[in-house]
Amino acid sequence: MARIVGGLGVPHTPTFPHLARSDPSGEVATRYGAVASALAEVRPDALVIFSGDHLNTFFLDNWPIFAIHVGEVEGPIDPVPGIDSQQLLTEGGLARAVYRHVVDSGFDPALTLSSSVDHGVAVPLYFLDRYHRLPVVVVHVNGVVGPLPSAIRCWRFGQVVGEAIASYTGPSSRVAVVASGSFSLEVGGPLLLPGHMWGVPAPDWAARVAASLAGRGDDLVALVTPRSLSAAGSVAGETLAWVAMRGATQHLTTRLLDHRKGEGHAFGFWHD
Amino acid sequence: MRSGFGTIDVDDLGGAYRLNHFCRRVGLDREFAEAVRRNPASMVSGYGLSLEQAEHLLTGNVAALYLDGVHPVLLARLASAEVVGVDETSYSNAIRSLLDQFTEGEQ
Repeated sequence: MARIVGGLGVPHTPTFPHLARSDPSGEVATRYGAVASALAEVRPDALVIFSGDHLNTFFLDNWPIFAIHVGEVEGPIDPVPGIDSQQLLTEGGLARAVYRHVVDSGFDPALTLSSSVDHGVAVPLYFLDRYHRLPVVVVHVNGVVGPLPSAIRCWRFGQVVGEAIASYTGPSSRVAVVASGSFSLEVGGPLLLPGHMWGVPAPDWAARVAASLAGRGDDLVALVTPRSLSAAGSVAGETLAWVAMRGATQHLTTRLLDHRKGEGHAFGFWHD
Repeated sequence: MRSGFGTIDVDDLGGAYRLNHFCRRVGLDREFAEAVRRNPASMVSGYGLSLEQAEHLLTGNVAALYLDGVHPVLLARLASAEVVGVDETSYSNAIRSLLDQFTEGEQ
C-alpha cells in the first residue's frame, strides 16, 4: 500500500521562477527552497497536485468543479517566463485509482485522458521538482468561477483522494500531496493595488487561514466561506486547493508554515 | 451585468461567452494576439460580438468589459499582451475606477 509521506502548499505566481533565477539567494528562491528541501527529506516517488485551472485548460464551454487528469498532461499551456511547455511525467495507475475511488465515494469529477495544465501546476513543479523526475497526478479544484465548491466538500474530496492513495498498490509507495495557490489575491479586478496587476484585498483573513493551517486546521472550513473568499479576491478560491490538501493529509503534522504579515499566500509543509 | 467585485459568478458571466473567449485567446495564442495588435477591428469583427461589446473591446474599455461579464483573469490578458491600447498602468487605473462605483452602490 502507498503512504502519504508529506503535504505541502505553495503559491504559483507566474513571475516567481524568473525572480528566483535572477536572485538565487533572494526571498522567493529561499522560501520555495525550504519547502523543496523538506519534500526531498521525505523521499516521495510521486506527487498528487491540487490546483485550480485559470480558464486555460478548461473553459466556459465545459467548466468542471473537480477534474482528474488521467493520461497525458502537457504544460504550461499559458505563458510563464522561463518555463517552456513540455510533457509531464504522470502516474497513470495512481490517477486512475484516485478517479475510481472518488467516483465510488460520491464525487463527480471530470476525466481527461489527454490534457494540459497551466502555471498553477508548472510553477510549483519548477521549484519542487525542476527536472520532472517525480510522476504526478493533477487534480483540478475550481477556484475561479462561482459558485465555488464549499470548503467542507473540498475537505471531504481531499479525504477521499487520501483514501485512494492509501489503498494504492501500484509502483508509487511514497506519495506527497501538493496544494497550489494563494489565499487572498485579486487578479484583473477592481481590488488591484494602484499601478499593479494584482492586489491582496484581505491580508488579515489570509493570516487567519495561515494560522489555522499552522495548527490542525480544525477551523479551516469555518473560515473559508463563499463570503470570505469573495472578499479576498477574484482568485481567492485557490484556498480550496489547500483545504483539499489538508483533507488528504490530516494525519500529518506541521513542519513549516511561512506566512508573512500583509501577504496573501504562504509556504507550508506537513510530515509524519 | 456585474454589480460588484469578488468571486466571479455564473450570473456575471452570462452573455459574455465570446468576449471571454476572445480575451482567453489573446493570452494563449501568440499569433492571434499579434493579429489583434496589427488589425484589431478586423479580428474583433469576426468574433460575433454585439456592437456594444465590440466597441468596448476596440476602445480598450476594460471597466465596461468587466461589467459586461469578462472574467478578470481573462480580461487582464489584454494588458499583458498590450492589445487594443491597454497596458498594465492604464488597465489598473481603469479597473480600479469601478471600486468607487461599487462602493457608492452599496451606500
